Amino acid sequence: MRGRARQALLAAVVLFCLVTPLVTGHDPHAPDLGRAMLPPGGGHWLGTDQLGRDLLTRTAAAGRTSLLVALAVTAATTALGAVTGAAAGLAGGVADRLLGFAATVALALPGLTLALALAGVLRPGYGTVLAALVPLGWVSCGLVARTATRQAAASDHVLAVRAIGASRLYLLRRTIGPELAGPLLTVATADFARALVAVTSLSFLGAGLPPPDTDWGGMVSEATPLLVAAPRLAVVPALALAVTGLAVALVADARRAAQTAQAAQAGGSR
Amino acid sequence: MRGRATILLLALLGAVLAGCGAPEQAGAGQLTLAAPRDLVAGPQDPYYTHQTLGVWEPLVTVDDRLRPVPALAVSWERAERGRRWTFTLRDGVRFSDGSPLTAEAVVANVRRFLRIAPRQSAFFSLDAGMEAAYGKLRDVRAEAGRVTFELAEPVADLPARIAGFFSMVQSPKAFAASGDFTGQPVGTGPYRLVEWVKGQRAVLAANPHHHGGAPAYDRIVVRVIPDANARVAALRAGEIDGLIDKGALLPGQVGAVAADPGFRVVRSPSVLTHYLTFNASRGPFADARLREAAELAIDRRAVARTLLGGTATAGGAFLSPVFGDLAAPGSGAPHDPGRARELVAAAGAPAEPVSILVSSAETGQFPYTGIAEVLRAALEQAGLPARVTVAEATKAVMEAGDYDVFLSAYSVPNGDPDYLFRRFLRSDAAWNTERRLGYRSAAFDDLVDEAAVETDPGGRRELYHRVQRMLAADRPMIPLAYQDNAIVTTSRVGGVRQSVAYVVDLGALVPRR
Amino acid sequence: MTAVVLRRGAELLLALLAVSVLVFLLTSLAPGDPAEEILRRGGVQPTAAGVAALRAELGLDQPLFTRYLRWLGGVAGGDLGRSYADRSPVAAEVFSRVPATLRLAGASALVAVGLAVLASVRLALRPRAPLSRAIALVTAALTGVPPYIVGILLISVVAVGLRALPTGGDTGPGAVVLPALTLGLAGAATLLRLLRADLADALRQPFVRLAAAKGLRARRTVLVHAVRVAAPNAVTAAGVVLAELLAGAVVVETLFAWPGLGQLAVTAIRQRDVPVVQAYVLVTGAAIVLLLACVELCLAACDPRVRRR
Repeated sequence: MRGRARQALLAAVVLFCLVTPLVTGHDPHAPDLGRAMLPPGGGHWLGTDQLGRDLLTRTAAAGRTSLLVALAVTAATTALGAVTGAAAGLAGGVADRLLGFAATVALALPGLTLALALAGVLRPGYGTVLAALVPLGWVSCGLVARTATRQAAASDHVLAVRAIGASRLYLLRRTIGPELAGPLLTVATADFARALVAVTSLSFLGAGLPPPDTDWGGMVSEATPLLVAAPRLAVVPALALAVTGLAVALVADARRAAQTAQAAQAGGSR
Repeated sequence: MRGRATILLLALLGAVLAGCGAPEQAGAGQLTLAAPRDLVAGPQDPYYTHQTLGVWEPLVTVDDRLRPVPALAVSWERAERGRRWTFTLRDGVRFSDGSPLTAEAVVANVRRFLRIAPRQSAFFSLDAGMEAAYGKLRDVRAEAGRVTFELAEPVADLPARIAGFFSMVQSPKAFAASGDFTGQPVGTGPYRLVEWVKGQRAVLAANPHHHGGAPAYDRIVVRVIPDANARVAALRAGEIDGLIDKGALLPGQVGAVAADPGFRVVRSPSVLTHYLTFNASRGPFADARLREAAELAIDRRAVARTLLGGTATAGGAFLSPVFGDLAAPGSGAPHDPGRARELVAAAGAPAEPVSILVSSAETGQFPYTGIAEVLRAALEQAGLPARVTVAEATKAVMEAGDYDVFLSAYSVPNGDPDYLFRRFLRSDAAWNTERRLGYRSAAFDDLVDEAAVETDPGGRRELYHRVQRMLAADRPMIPLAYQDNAIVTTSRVGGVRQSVAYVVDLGALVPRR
Repeated sequence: MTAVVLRRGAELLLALLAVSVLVFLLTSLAPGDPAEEILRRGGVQPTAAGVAALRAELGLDQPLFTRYLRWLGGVAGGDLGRSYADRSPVAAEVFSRVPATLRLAGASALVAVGLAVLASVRLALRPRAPLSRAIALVTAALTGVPPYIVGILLISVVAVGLRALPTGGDTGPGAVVLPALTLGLAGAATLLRLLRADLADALRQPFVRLAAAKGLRARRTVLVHAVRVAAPNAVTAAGVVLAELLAGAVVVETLFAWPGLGQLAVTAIRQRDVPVVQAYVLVTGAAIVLLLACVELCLAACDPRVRRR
């Protein structure tokens, strides 16, 4: 699939999540037991769930939540990873060793289990999901940022800027920072796909967002008892999640390929 | 290259799939069941196994209405207005090791319980229920094949209080001095425990010494499948012959499984009731009108029918139908959203949204987030803005008083209503005071005390009806729905019966054509 | 070499200590009273005296730091404490579940590594062939679709629909297939992504290009030269993926009723069985740390550049 087509698929998913509630005119959160479990048709294109909520609208609303939370998680992990990685890469020595140590600890902790345990400590909510996923999720970004910083710091033009007496902060902001952006964005895209899986997995295991908000994992989880009676209740959000995951992964792949090609070109010209 | 790669791939898949055949088939005489939890708790547990496995039997058990019925005791007599109870044991009963059941063995079991309590259990902790059963016990002794309990105060319904786990009888030889088991459980039931893989399966074999004759199945395997979806998948894939125990089928699953002619769903009332508990120590629900509005706003019938999938009946009287004639007839308000709106308008809507608290521990078993959502919508329609809070440690939240209404399920340990009223709602009850219910009624307290010592059945019934009418008017808690428990077997298994305490008599199961 | 191993070992031990502190704090700071929750099993409200007695028995009345030291002392002696739920020793329970988890992890690793290696070679050889494109698409889908959805699908179609394999539980030799596939496919996707980049890199190395220019057939180029170059990275990647498999088995084990550590952990979290949760995290953490150390050692032993340091 071409790069454009991949991005278009992702854009379509986002558009679906944003626009559907406006088109159907249903409230995704308003229960109406009188209209529970209606089959597709009539005013409800995909039918209603066990509370009488419109499945299509609810899927779109859950999608918006899923994407937003995954985005927030990714933004936080990327920021954290970029700062720690760049600092470690630039400072070297003890800071570098500390980062390596923190990465080992983070890698050694079984993330999902810990997140579940944490959800028991704090109340379910957006903050809890972030607190559960961010502290262990920054590692990939941190390591990439460190490597990229090291490479950039050793490059000729950075050495030159350094020679004229630029401060480390200046270096980070004006010369190294821009070089980090590309690799970080690539990792962040891949991390976004993983965050989407992690966020919905937490909800699936029952440690997700407080009602009435829900995400696709929560919808699938709610629908599993009805898997035989009304498979559509699980299939629709699962399908939405699958398509989104695919779109994000494809975009991430394309970014990585572009980056590799760029690096190869740079390496070839050197 | 392509050829070789394909061969490699096939070889790999072959290696992975190697040895996989059809799932284990149940042979003649063997039955495979599954339960959501391990029905064996092990030698450190007070009981080792759940009553359902039929490894041990109690003196007294309960039927599907919480009424005490004979098990190892064939009859009992009350003397001195309930200060002395004497149980006559069934004749010719032997433990699975061949030794005879004696009154001394029964006494040894009771003394063991008293010695090791309080102690936690995977099933019924030796704590509150124990206190209700034996709290007034002065002495227990064996006399001429009969067991006599001497009580410090009259107890009207001792058999009901000790029914089930608290009157378990196992061979005293099975216990160590510490109260732990020395080896396998040794009981009188239709089955023996022959193999146990913790968290995975228990294998039962017919007990040759069983007093009721040999059971129909030689072996019963009870697998542990905690995930509800996996349980039903295993059932539909033909891997197991049935699902038993509390929560075997989730409310949402019952309809589709019952519609399949290959399965027979058995649904019976349980000791579990869903209640709404109001925080009347602060904010909106300190106003009785708003508590009434909340009760009128929620459509309990619709909740029971749709969300609970018809596995529950709408709440009315404070005591559930399993209490039989102790449950007050005709109490409980009907669904009336119009009147609810009027009440809210008269009382004035609060500025802050009403906080509906749900325990996340319970959301997996019952569709509590769904019910809370329906309640939220109902309250909002009545003019009370509301929000739902899910918390894992609801105790801490409630003790901080940080809720307005709490949705939760409660089970009763026995048929004695005094437990509910005294432990939850009396002015000095731990639940009432610690959880900030704010319910203070001297009239209620007096009535509860009066009912507790009334030993005449008719007078006792009348007193408890008055207690419930008082609660229906005051509304510190309202019953939302009485939960049934649904279990299922394939249509080839018959004789499936379930007590209110989720006990299925495995010895009564028979193959059917 | 010895100095490197010793220093690395000390670092790993320190990492485990950090893991233990984090886990202990996290699980012990949970609000609510485990003693009360344990006694409420069966839905019956406990008595105050019962709760107090159990708190004393479990040592919950001690200050946090004392509890941590006592726990750590036990762990050092191989004693992981007693389960809150049924008073049985946690160590026995945890180690009885290790074989099942290892079996699942091994089978999934087989699926993951096997599929990823085959697919990556194929992709490196003919990046534009239709099959390669299909592989790329499936890989992308598998990275984006959570294992629980793959698992539910496999159970519904293969186990319930076709009755070809068991739905779950450790009931026979075939039972591991579906959970291993679910877990392995996700691992394969991750691994393939890493391998692909490495192979592509390796193919651009001057000496590999030279070999190709000398007229070596494409297959040989890839298999002999490029794979050899990419191997160290691939081993590292496999180590990371295996670590993820160990940690990620939670969902799959729950879904398939697989009696491994993950299922134990989820049950323990739901029951607030703190000692079991602590033991699970510690044991899994130790396994992952050891695994990563092994990978590092292997690479060091094979690579002369690292060995000499």
